Amino acid sequence: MSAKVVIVGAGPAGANAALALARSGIASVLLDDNPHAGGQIFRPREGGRLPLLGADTRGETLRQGLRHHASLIDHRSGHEVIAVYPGPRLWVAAPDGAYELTPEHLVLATGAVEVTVPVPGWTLPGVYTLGGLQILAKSSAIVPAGKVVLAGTGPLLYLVAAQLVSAGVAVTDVVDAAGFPTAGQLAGMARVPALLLRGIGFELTLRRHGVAIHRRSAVVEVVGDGAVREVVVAPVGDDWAPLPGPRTRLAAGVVGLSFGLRANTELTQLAGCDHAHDPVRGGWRVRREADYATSVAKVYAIGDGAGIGGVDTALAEGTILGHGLTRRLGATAAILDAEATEAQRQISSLTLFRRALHDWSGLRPGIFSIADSRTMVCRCEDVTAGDIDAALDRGLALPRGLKLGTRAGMGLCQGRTCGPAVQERIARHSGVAVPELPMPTVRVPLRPVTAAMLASLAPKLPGE
Amino acid sequence: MFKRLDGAGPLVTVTVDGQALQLPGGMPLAAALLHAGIATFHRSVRAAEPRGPLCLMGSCFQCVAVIDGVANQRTCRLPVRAGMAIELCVPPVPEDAA
Ligand SMILES: Cc1cc2nc3c(=O)[nH]c(=O)nc-3n(C[C@H](O)[C@H](O)[C@H](O)COP(=O)(O)OP(=O)(O)OC[C@H]3O[C@@H](n4cnc5c(N)ncnc54)[C@H](O)[C@@H]3O)c2cc1C
Ligand code: FES
Repeated sequence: MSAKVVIVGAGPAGANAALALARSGIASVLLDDNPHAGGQIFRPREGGRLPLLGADTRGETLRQGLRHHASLIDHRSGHEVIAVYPGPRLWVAAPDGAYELTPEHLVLATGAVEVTVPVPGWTLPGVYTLGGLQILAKSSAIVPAGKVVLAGTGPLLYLVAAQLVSAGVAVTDVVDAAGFPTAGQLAGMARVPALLLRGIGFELTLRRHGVAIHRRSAVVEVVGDGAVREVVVAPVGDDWAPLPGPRTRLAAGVVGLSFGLRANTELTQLAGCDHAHDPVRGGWRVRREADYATSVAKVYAIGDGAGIGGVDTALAEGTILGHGLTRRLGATAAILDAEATEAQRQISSLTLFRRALHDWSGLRPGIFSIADSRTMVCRCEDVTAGDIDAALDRGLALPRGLKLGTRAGMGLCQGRTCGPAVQERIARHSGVAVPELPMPTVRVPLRPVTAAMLASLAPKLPGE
Repeated sequence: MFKRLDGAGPLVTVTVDGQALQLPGGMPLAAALLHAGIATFHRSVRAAEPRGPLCLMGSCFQCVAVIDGVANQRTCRLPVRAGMAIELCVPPVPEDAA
């Protein structure tokens, strides 16, 4: 099947790119594995309305736009890209079977995934990522019924805490590895006053509800027997390694635990694009030109999937990409010129904001020393920190050797959850910094496929 | 462990390990099970530890269960359908053995 432009990801970045193209009369296929467009942030409640959880109308506006331009934008929800081969050639898993696409131009807008840090007991049922708790509340109106402790770092920590307490959830404590932002960091964040004010708003909401905020602290153990019962909190130092001294025990039935976002680079990696490590934008990210072209011809990357920048950056990058691609395809982009200039201006101030945010809450390596030798690092294959260290002692340093030796990252999630923690252990063991290590690998298909799906693709199996 | 912020929608009947259970139709299965008080979805591959959903966005595979006889199904991506047969606490099948 041929389509001129295929966009993967119908979040703010991908959807906005499709809209910008459509306004110049250019058709696109917009693939997304979720039931609705909007990505991680503009997640509609599936039927019914959810009170108090920050009504942002931009998601509805995006979805309306997609419907309005339905003759040009072929939005396929529930369609997941499970492989990318040179060409580019895509495999798509859809509810009713798999198929192949060979677009002329491929735009990857696959968004972010949360960073998790293994701590003793974090595999107990009842521990969720912060984003996971938010998704339950936002899309299903399901919230924890008992005491909740939220821990980790970054804006999502305060956002989710404020959203849950506002919905009547008993969030008793927030545990943040970062300290209170310094004057310099606050000045940097003030580059985008609206975002800084939002953050202050969350803080005030938490104080009003009597939520205790433990800064420069981390959950060093989750305790329970088959389910979470309590967490142990300790102060952390400058590099976020736990300090000796008194521990605080907090009762909780549900724990939220995650440490910010990183770019979902699966598809840019499979497409063969160059990547580099950029801590300010969440770690490993694809290398891009000014027009968001990657090192592979006709493959572009935008939004959080190309480096964490937040929703406003994602929207702006979508507009700019649409504008640039319109020109490449030989159409005139007169209507878009002013929009693209404005988007570029926004991105500049957001970049300064992002730097301050990173300075305040960017992941620091000491946090990974919370895991003891028995802590599960790879949950899919039950590989402990001790197993990984032993394999490294045997000289299995490269990710591939380590994977084969321990099976860490070889399970169903393909290392999406344990990737950063495994890399950090290799770095510590080898003395080679993460940016100098080879990037964690991905393999096709990205998700387990059924025999029937493979059969529907078989006649066209591309030679690798 | 979890409560609903709005009224229950139309319920449909599914089976969990052979027992009939009423769940809200259309809701992601993981959310519906958590609301029904079920937090352990499978046992881990080697240590057989209880495991349940983590990310709720299709990334971590910690929510997998056997659905209508098919192993390794991500329940956070699967809407509740009438008649669904759900098997819990079954270790996932290693991918290279499947
Ligand atoms: C769990 C979570 C919660 C968040 N909550 C907030 C929040 O409340 N407020 C906030 O400001 N920011 C939030 N963020 C950050 C926010 O997601 C981003 O700033 C913004 O959504 C980025 O937009 P995007 O279009 O780049 O990516 P996204 O909005 O993430 O959109 C990417 C889309 O691509 C889809 N996709 C990925 N891979 C594939 C594939 N292989 N095949 C098909 N489709 C695919 C994804 O399912 C997703 O729908 C959150 C992030 C996460 C991960
Ligand atoms: S909970 Fe992570 S994939 Fe379903």
